[in-house]
Amino acid sequence: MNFHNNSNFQNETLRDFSREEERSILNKGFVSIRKEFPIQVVPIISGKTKKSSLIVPSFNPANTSEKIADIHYASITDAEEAAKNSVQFFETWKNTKPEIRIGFLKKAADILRSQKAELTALMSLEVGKGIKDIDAEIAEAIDFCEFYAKEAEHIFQPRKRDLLGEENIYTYIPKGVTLVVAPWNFPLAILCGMTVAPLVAGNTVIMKPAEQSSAIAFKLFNILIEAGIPSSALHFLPGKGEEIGAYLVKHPAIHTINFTGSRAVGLGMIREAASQNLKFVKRVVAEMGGKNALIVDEDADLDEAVIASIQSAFGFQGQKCSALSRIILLESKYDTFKNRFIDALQSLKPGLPEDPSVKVGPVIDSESRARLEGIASQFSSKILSKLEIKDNQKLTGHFVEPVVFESEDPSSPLGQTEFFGPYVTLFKAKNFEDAIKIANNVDYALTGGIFSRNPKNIQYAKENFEVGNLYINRGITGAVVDRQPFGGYKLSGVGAKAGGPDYLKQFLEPISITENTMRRGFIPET
Amino acid sequence: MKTTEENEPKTKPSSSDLQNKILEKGKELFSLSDSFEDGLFSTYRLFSKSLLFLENRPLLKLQAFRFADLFPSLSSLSSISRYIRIYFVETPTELPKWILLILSLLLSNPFSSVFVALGAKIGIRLTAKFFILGRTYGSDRKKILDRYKNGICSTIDILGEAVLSEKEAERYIHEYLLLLEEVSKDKELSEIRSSQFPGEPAGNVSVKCSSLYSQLDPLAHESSVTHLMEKLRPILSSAVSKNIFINLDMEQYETKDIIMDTAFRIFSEPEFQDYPHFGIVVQAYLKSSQRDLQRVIEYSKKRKYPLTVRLVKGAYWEYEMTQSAQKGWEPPVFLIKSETDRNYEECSALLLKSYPHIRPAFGSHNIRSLSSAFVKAAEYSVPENFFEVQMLYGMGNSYKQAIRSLGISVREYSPIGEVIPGMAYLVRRLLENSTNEGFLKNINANSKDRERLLYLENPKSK
Repeated sequence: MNFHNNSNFQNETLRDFSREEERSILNKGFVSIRKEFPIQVVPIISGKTKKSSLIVPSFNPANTSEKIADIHYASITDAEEAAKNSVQFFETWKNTKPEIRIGFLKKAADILRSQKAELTALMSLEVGKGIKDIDAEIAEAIDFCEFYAKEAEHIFQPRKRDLLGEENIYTYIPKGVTLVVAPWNFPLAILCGMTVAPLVAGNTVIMKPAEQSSAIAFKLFNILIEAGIPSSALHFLPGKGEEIGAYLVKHPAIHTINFTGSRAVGLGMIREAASQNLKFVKRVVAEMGGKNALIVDEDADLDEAVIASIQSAFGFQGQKCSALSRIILLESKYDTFKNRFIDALQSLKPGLPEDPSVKVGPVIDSESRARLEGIASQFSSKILSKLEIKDNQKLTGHFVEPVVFESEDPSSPLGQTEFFGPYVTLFKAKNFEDAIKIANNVDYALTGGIFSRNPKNIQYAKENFEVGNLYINRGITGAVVDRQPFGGYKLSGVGAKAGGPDYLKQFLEPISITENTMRRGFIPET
Repeated sequence: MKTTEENEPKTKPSSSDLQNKILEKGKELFSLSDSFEDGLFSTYRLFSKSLLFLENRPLLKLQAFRFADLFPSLSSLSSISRYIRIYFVETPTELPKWILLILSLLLSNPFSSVFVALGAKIGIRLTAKFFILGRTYGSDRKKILDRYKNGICSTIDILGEAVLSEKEAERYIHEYLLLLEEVSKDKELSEIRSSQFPGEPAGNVSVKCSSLYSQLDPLAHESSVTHLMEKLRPILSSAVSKNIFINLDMEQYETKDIIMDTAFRIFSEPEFQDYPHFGIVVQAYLKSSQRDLQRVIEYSKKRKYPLTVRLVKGAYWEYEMTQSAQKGWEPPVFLIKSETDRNYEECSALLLKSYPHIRPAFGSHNIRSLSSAFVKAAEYSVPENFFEVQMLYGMGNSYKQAIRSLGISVREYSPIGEVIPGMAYLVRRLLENSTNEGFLKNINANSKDRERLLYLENPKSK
């Protein structure tokens, strides 16, 4: 077979669920994780467990009578202590040989691999994600460990440009303490990538997981510690974002804020970081939202386009920053696509995500559900189709009915506002250029896609579609580390792409060292 | 396993003897087929010759397949001519300069470009007609009857696009039921059958399980099997009441176990357990095929009447290779064609050894593969009326006649349906017909080269 691949990086393989043994291992994972419930999630600073005065229980979003964990929230005092300890240990961690740090990441990848079944079960039960999405997410977490380990091997080899009598080295040093503020929608992979990258670069890290996915975060934290990361280099602070998150963002000991979440919070962090009077510029790496579009050209293969749209719009109930929320159709394809798309939506089964035949699970919490229901009633006149969910199901969990809207006005909130739920709107375009114009006319530039068999239009999209990740003739979610480094621009984010060649460098300062080696006419042999 | 060990000493010393017999059988088939050869200008010959034009023109071939794939979504003549320009004039291919010149000249003017578009449309429809029997059974049954009169039976399948929703699946189920109805009511068919094919059931239909249920999913194995059984039950019931043979087709590797488990479970239901006319497919390009075949054999042994196994090589090779590459899996298929060929022969032997517990149906156009099956059938004393050969509608007519003249039944896999949704099927057939290892080589080879095709290639020599 003849293909070009310049990277010798191997992605983690997905599990082949057509094999019976793979399915039975998975089932055992559910049985064994349930024995641990309710998981006691506690703040840990330099290896010491902290007592909390606030313990918040967390429940399965698909079945709110099932308690998953007790989250012991960290206090401001804990946050302060974590910051202080992080600064203290930084010099030691910075001076630890890169090979040792790299080794920890590889070990973490191995442990993650060995716990796939339990992690899958926990993610399904804590955030309500579907099993295949979870499988891809675990693979992504493993890939982040392996990929950043490999990148570090490369980065920590100093670049030399020596001349006669002059030695030039270009090298990197870690920045300092990194605060990681992670989202709940990729509770394992994003938190893992955001944490291990600064760690392998030599920064100490404070993990502040999302409230909704603290149990998975706690598992990950323990895996990283088990892999050998010194407990003084990595601290775990579950708790309220508005409280300890906000406190640490302002903290003068924090050099870098590594954030994934909403646009409002991200922009707030950037403003906060810029206004501080410190002896360094606080760096914010922020991955924010999207209002992602898929264009269906008049020559598109509809079999493929419909399936890809269903998966991209409704996978994990649309709660992905890469999720599809606008489908822009060329007029000639509009009605056929619409009918097949609606029928396909109506064929999806809602229910408990742990049931492998279920394609529509719950949204994360009651707040999210109320917000989405509000949007649906606000735009009820634009609803084209809605997948009914039975009342008894709605009583057991935070289920929101997936909706297809139809709109003539791309500048309305249906075309502009990120909903972060199972909502998608169909728009019409006069021609392909018009479709690209509509697609670009948003604040975001995260993911986008086209279905087309016209090489001219494909080329046009490659040159003009304003997105960080462009997908052609496939779904627009599910980026793979190294193959499809992930991230957006405009108001979708600032910083390098996750799983890409520039990511690690964000946690490092490049240093150039020049030494004149000539001494009174004597040049030492090199 | 025991049985194969016992058989080893008997067959081993005679292995070169066996090879000679296969060679002889192949030569016999080739020369027989010459006597049934259609006229030099028969439409298929013309078609196959024109496909040869694509040989050694990889860029042109790629564009031609892309165009065929695209064609169903082109709704007007002007869009057809626009895409001909994009695909063949503006994209570099190995088209000879003079053709390019004429083509761009014709496309430059709206009147003549309509002719180009019409020409392409007719060309594609004609090509489709080689492989697609007709729109519906009702409208094109005469073709099937003609084939029956010439001694060729058929198994009918319904072409289609991917089933994306349960609504679309319901439509297919309805179409299958209608097809069964039409076949069973065809008096002319039943007359020809009872006079010429006394053992045959009243009809033979191949069912594509993926078109019956839109939510087939290997992860949801249990629920996929249960739903598929529900969808199949009315079709099988109808077939049983009308004495029609039902074969469950195989598609992607991913759904293979679902279809096998569904077959085993539904065929065991009281209503169906004693029905003689059920079949399933084994794909020899799968590394798991021998294991799967053993399962089918064990299952069939428990039945009152044997199952039919259609042994094919498999038509989703490229698909399986890309899927496994993207997921980081070991490919489920053999990487080299000759390994598939070899495995096909081993599977054939397994099938024949299990006589009379399985009825083999050898689905192949490869004369070497078929000769090997025939020779082994004789070796294991499997009567010639106990197995059959299946070939695709539209391909290799002279071979069908040649095999028929040996007293072996031949059945054609005859798709019906709209040309447009059937395009995926057509593209697969075109791919098969234009690869170097493919069947077209057989047809167009001269007698010396043909003989070379009768040897199993050594995979290591590649």
